[in-house]
Amino acid sequence: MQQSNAQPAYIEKTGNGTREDRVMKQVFLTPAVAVLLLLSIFPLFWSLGISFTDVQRGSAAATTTTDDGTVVEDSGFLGLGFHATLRNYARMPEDERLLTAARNTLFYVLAGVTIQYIIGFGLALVLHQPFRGRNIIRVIFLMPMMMTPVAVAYTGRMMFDTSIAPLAQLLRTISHTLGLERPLFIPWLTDGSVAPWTIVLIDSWQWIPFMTLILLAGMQAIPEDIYEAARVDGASSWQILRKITFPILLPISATVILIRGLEIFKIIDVIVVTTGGGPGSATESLTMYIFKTALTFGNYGYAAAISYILLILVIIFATIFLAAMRYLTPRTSG
Amino acid sequence: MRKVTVILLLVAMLVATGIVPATAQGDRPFEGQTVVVVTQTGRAIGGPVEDHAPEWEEMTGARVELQQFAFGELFEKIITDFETGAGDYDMLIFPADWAGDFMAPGYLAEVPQEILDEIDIDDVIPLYSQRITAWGDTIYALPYDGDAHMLYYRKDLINNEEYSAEFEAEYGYPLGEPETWSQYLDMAAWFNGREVETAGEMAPIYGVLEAQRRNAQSYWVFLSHAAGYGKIPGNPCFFFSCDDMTPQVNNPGWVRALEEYVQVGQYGPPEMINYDVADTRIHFPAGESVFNIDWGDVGPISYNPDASVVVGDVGFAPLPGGDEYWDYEAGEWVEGPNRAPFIAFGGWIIGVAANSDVRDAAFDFAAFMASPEMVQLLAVTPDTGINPSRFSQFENLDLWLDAGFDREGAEDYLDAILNTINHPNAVLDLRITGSAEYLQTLDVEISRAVAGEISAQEALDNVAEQWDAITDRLGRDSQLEQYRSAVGWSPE
Repeated sequence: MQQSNAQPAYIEKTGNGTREDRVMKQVFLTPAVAVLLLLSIFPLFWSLGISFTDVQRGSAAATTTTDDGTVVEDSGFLGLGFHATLRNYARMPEDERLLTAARNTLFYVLAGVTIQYIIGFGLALVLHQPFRGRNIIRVIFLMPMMMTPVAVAYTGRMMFDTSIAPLAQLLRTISHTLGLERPLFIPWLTDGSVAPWTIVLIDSWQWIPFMTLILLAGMQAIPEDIYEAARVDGASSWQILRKITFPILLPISATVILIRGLEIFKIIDVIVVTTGGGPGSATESLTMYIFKTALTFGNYGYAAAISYILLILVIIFATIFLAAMRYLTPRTSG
Repeated sequence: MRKVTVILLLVAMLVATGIVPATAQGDRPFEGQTVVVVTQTGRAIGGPVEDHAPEWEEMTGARVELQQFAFGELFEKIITDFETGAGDYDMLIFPADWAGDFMAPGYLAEVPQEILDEIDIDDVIPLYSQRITAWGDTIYALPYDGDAHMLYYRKDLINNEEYSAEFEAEYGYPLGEPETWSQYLDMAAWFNGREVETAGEMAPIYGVLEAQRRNAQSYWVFLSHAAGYGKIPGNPCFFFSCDDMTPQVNNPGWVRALEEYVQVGQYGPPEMINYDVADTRIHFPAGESVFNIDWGDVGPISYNPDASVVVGDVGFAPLPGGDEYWDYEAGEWVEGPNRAPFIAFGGWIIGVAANSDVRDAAFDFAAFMASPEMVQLLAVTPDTGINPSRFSQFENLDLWLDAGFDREGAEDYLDAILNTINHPNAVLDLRITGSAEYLQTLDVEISRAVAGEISAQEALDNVAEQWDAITDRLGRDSQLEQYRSAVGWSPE
């Protein structure tokens, strides 16, 4: 085939550049892709495979007896020492602890995201206003986010102690001031119905600044002339918030809610430090249950199966949320 | 010759400038090596390593790197390291209960005889020198700590004649060191909320302080209650039947114990459901309750004026027993007191990883920490987590008097420990492959019962079901064989 121009074949031009360009792209991309495949994709499929096996620490080797009475050790599926099975997935509907952990996790996500978004939005509105010392206050507001979750959890545990914490003292002072016969008492971490809320509060204390930071950045990006036009048209502050600020921030809101939602699905550190999953199983999350199942009980197959259920929950959450956001976000014409 | 002189001069210069250590290899035999030690977080157990490693480093030239994890995660961290062969840890200070998971698969190196000689193993009480450090006939760990649960009580209140008369009028017997759990509960209920004098001030007091936190060390406290109701005198098989490994955890004796462990919550602070022993060890010496159940640690703490407002006011006793017990072989309750002290935990022991690349240094440091002088010092020092385990510690009363105990208190404390570990009906802790898994399962379910999610019977039925599943998975025959051996049972 005759070339349309005089250039050599190796620098033949296409829509993606020369052939040399394409080769170089592949050369540079291959290590990254290989690392990605090795560190992310391979473990993903490997763990999926494990979820369909009975692999577990310390399993006694199964044996079978042949017709001539010889006892033969069962080497399992493809000689790997374990068997392919659906038992991990079959066990789930009857695993009460798993269902409780899933319910707790969904609660953390819904309550956590809601509280963090509402307060974060409110704080962003406040910090968006001009006032003296605004910059320093913005920095102070961001500090909890910079702490490690374990430190936050220990702080929370101290704050919510019912006898020696400042909050307990505050409640006693209020009770005394009001002349109550029995002092006000909230079992922050020791009652199964209150403890999950306390976990949400501790997590929120750390992550509200994240919401605030992103939403504040979004607010600062809204052109001032839009607000001026609204004020000229006689819009009240509430109308400006409802009709301008909130709708314009919806795409950013969707992003932060999604990020936080996905993060809260994996919550474990705060729970381990504050309640250890208790009282009873009131605060145990799916991640904590997976951790215990895999590393304490050595039931890697079941832990992998639960991990995939968590993944499915996360995907369902993200899909529904994004669909709702697409429906709610005002479309620009064109 | 000239060349040699030049070399000698160069070496002398290097030594003088510190590039080559002045001491010979023999003086600092582990120069440049790093021993990574893993244990639980906090001052107890890990603290002594932190405090005394510099002395050993100075002597040997090696460096100690201490890695600490919360008790609830310690097993996972170590077993993950072993299973993956990561080799991150050289020396482990771990609960004797985990021997089946660490020693049986060969993750720990056998302790050389010269190391055992170095720590004067013959001075260690056999319970701690043999039963908890060996797997089969092989010794894989060094004894470090002697553990058994005991009862602490405010003797200034329990021995108060005025209170005793009032109590007797209500319950029909005088106050005194409780011998049964029923008496313990009666006294706890009577004192709970009562204004008593503590450190010169009148304030309400709680009846008890018992650890009840999940994912911590609380389940041993429940087991202490269960021993009195579930241990059959003359039959060492407490957790399982030695006939066929049937779990006994849900028999009526254990259920009664759990019901009482739940009831105890009424007589303690509201936060008690979230207290581990690390918490109760702060609150009891602060004079907040009449009773406390714990390992031997509270003794020295109660005599530490920096931590205790009840110095000299604490009495020590073996655990109370049941006023009846469930005979699972006969399937009936047997009336009468049944004291069955629980050798909870057995003790922290020190092992060296078989795959350690600094094995000699690790053993040397292990021997340094487990030496008679060191454990004597640690046992009388508050907050170290180390309790007496050697004959010499029980024979040398001056050791305790020098540490701040009064004579009566020291004798009382040591008697309580000896009466516990030497009791013919004492219960040994679970020490078979999968112990951590069996006990974690128990932990979750008793926590649910304490929180009121399910009844005591439901909780323990769940445990029994899961214990059976664990036993079947690990191999019923081998588990039975291990359990029989661990408790010293043999078919008649």
